[in-house]
Amino acid sequence: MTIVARLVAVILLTLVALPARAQQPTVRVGSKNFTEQEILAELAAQLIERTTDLRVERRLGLGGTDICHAALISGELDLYVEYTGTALLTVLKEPVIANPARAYQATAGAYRDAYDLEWLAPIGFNNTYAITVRADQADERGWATVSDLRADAGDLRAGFTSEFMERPDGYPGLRGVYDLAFAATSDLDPGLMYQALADGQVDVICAFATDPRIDEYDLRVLEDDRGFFPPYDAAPVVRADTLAAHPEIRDALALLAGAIDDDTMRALNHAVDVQRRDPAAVAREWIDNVLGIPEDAGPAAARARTPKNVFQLAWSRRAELGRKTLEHLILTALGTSIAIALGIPLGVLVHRVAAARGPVLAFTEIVQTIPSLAMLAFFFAIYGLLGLAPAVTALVLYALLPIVLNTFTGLRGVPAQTVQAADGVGMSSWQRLRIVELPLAAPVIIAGVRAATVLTVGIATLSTYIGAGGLGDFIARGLARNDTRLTLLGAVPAALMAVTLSLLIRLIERRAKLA
Amino acid sequence: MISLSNISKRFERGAAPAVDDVSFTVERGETVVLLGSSGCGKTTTLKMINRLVEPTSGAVEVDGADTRTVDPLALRRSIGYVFQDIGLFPHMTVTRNVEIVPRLLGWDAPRRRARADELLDRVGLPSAEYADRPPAQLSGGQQQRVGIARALAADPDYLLMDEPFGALDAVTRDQLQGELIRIKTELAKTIVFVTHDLFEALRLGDRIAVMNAGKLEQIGTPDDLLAHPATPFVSDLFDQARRQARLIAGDRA
Repeated sequence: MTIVARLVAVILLTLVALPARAQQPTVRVGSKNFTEQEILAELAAQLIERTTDLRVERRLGLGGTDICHAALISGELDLYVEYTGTALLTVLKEPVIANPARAYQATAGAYRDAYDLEWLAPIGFNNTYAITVRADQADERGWATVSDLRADAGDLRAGFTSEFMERPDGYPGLRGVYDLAFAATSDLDPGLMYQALADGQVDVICAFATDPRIDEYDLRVLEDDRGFFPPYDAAPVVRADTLAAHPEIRDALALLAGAIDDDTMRALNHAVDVQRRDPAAVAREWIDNVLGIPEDAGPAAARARTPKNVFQLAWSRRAELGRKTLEHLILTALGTSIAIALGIPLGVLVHRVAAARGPVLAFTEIVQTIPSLAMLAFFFAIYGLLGLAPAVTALVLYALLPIVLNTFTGLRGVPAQTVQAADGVGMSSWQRLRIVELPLAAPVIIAGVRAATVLTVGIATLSTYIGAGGLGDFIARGLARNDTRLTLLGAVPAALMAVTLSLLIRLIERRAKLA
Repeated sequence: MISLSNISKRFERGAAPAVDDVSFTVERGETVVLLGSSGCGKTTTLKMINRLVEPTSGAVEVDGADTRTVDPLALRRSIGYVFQDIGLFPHMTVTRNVEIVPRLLGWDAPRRRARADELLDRVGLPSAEYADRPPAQLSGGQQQRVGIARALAADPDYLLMDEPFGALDAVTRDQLQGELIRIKTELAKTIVFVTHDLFEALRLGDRIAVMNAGKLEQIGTPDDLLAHPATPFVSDLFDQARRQARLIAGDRA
């Protein structure tokens, strides 16, 4: 009992202590989960850090436009870089505006009126969608424009990001305007689709115009001959109240205005995606060149230390690795322990009250079928908070099923004569539970906790998409940059954590069996 | 004294009663055996004494108090109960099993331990050897000795025993019946004992209550029942036993 009480105290203290961290004057900069977004966020963050007295908190790699936008509105973020086309179509749900200047004006006006968010000056490049194929296949079949695909679409496989599959300026619109019907389409991670195209897994992808892998993999962008794709001019979007409180942010970010054209952006992306350099370092170098303000640690030194293999990478980032591992452990511990605190009583309820059995078990089973990312996004929407709270809530729900089910199964396995004897010697139903039923069910319950823990370690890697940190940060960044070393840097410690926790709990399980 | 007045139990509305209008009294220090074949209502009758089963109608008094006015947990803790399938707690040592009722009653640990040691010695399981063993390491007969020690732990005036030796082999059963007679005279307990075994009933019972189909056929001393069976069921019961005894004797001759 005292262990449980202590655990609860620790959880409460952690929950109380975490928000307190954010009380210093801090600007929170966010990004979506792809390379360009991280570079742009780093540029914005470092410009603010180097030209103002503000502290910057980075919340990079969030799981999509919806999450970034909602976080900005709820004040969980102060700024991130958005694209006019995305804002117009995905957020505002307005029709396409082909003229870039008019698109920017319409977007900025609507954001000011509807959300109290301010669009700063465009950065200069237009990262629109680009229907992309393998260069050799384009030559062979004589494709130059998107219209050229129509005749061959029936035997082509397309790989699109899940966002593109749903956006009005994505596949749904493209299909209509160009009358395209591909043989198959699959949802691909944005970091993987270039490789998938190069390897011949798919024949057509929706690349981003500034992606360096178009050149790297010898791919060919087909001309948007019907002018379907709207302009995607990038610009920082900032909360109006943040700008009012800290007008120096406007000056800091003015340094980005018109400063990066398509070629420069592709070069920056190239440095990260192909040369495998750190986005923060790439951003620092650009700022050094543009501002002529060298930082203490020169970029040359940083480049010299660029690690070669996964072990060097792990060593060079050991502090970060340790922090992410700890974050992951906290996510797992919180998720699992709250699930235990809820799941065991629910299991007892299900065992004792037959009427509760159907609804409770059905609920926990249905929860298992909800995709993790959808669940995370859902709780983010409910809480209006990024980070720990929605992530832990989702983890708790996933961990519930094995614990509830095993508690129920364990209690049901207590022999009838033992239960009868407990009643016969005059135990109250609470005493029967505490003295007889739970101890006898303990090995099965602990096995459920073990399953829940392993599950939680795995699902916690997805918490990165709502900014809850953990080892998933490495995995998502690795996927976004198609950098296997970075993915392994997250995946291997997560796997080790799962195995270690499982073994530890198995030891407890064995002791419970002997007792 | 335990007194049952017009006790009936119907488990389901409209079904035949499991126990039908049964009345009898158990005097202080007496052993009454409830005898009958399986399904006759004898175990249900026993369980209504400590409210493991609540009567549909009728009243049970223990020491003059209507059990409906007594907290059922306190009632059960004040009456020792020995189960047919023994029902030791498999995750507790022998001592922890014996101590359970004193623990529920809030005795302190040294007093519980001393009492458990005393009882284990009394039922023929030297505490030095058996106290810390798990029940699974004991034979069936040893386990039921622990079951008896557990029932006696808080020194109750009454013992309810539900076919306690039914699952044991004949030799062990005979031994334990002997032990029970010894314990009962030494400790002066009032016992209600359920069995389907006529010979066990004759050996242990001061009086025997014969039950059939939920009804009490006759209650009386073994001699009464043998000499003056009140119903055809009771006389058949003894005739059958006599035939068996003759068969055994005949086989020998």
